[in-house]
Amino acid sequence: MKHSRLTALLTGCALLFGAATFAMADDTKKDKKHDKAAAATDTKEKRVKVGEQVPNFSMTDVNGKTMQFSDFSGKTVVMEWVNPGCPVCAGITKAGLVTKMIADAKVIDPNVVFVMVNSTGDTANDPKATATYLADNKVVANAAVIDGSGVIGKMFDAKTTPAVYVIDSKGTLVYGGAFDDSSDRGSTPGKTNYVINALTQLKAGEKVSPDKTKSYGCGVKYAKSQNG
Amino acid sequence: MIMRFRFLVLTVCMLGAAWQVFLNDKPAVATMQAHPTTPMLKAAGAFNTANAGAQDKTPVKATAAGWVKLASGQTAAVVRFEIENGWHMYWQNPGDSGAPPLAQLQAVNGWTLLEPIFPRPSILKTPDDTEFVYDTSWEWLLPMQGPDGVAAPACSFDLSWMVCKERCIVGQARVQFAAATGELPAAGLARLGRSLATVGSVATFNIKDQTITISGNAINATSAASTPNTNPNSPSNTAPAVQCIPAVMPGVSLQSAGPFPATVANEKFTLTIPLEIQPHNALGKPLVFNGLLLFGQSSGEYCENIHLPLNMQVSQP
Repeated sequence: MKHSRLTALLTGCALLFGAATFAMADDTKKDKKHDKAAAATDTKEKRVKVGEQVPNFSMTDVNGKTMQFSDFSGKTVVMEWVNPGCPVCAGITKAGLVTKMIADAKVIDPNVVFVMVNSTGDTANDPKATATYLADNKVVANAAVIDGSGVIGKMFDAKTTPAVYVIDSKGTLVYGGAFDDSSDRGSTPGKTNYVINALTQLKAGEKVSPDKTKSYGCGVKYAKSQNG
Repeated sequence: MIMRFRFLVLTVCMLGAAWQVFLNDKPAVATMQAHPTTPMLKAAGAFNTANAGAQDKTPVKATAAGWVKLASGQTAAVVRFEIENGWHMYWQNPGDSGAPPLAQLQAVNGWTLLEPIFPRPSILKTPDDTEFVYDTSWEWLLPMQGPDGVAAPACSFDLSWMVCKERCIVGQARVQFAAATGELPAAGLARLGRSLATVGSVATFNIKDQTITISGNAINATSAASTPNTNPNSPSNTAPAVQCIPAVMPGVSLQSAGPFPATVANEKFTLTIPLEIQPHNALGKPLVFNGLLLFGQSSGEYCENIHLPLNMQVSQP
């Protein structure tokens, strides 16, 4: 009797331990999957400049779904770097400026695609935090991308949150830099939202101007192990 | 029975330990949980609503530190920022990321706040970024313009700032100054070991083919220094290292955030910086090369303002 109880207890422990180990291995696998997807970009070390064609790259969204940049082929794409922990990024988002930008953009170009990217090292591997942050602030984007390895962020040379990039329907980077011309880090909205400015000019067939501004905000804070 | 109980306790402990190992073995998620986001979001909220109560949420304490007289004859209020160890605030050009502090003068009849004066910053380099920062306590000068011959009145400034470490926080405070009285001390010496830039006297400039060349006698900078040379690697009888850090210059792109080091030989320094001048990105402002020429490595050593108008047509936005 004693032996059977002991055996049952030990078996239970072994099962629990096994389950924990399995879960741990599964989680590691998931992390690797994220990294692998991000590393699957065709753009290793390549930095895209304004006026250049954006090469295709892989993205993994907050739900673990992998997609290609080429999936948005033929559409204008706006990419915004986000970090729920950055007070500047959170400030403009909570103030409704991101939601307004998306709404205004859809009026100019109903097919415009918005991709929110989190390249921040210590939060990017927690997709739920980014998803919750966007949902709580009613930011409805076409994709919310987790870029824990920083490959996509570094390809665009994204330095701050929020930094924004506009890629035209032909795949050319036509604007990169600040969210708007706010004189106080987005605390009060600027007169010009540079994404709306770019989309308006694209629609009119004009050259985007300005096409490069200095972005403001917190540093992206890429994962330390991936630096360099 | 006791043995069985001890065995059970031991097993539970082992499972607990295994669970802890399991949790700690997921650094990305665990680290994320270790940084509470609530205070940051609160700070973000406070950022949008002016009140002095936000000050205790940041590792920065801002105080009124009296008045000084500038070389121009103007009076400047001195704000002292005390920063907790490990955190940093930003120069007028933060570098790759960050933001400088902002000040707003509360309405005082006949008085306006001019462009704030930032002392020499330190250079913070990480594998991804270069930032120009204040990583120790520092003093910020807020020049005031008012009626001739009238001393600066009692007034207050609403300040806000970004301060960063592994994360960033925005803080704000209102600082109050008593009226300036008597003979004011000169602003030539920064009181917290940081030098103030002088108007150029050491460097000469040349611009050709979108490349700016800055040159001069490096040893002159040592003798021009208003504060003692505290860098052990550059004693006063040898030429100090020279480098340039750019200010924010709409319409002027550089290859990196800087700093741009000079070649120093025979006490002469030469510095060449390729520029990409893009009038359509000037945001309606004049095209100017602005920056700071830093001599030596210490923030207390001599530095000089660079202000070189680039005579090109600027398109209006």
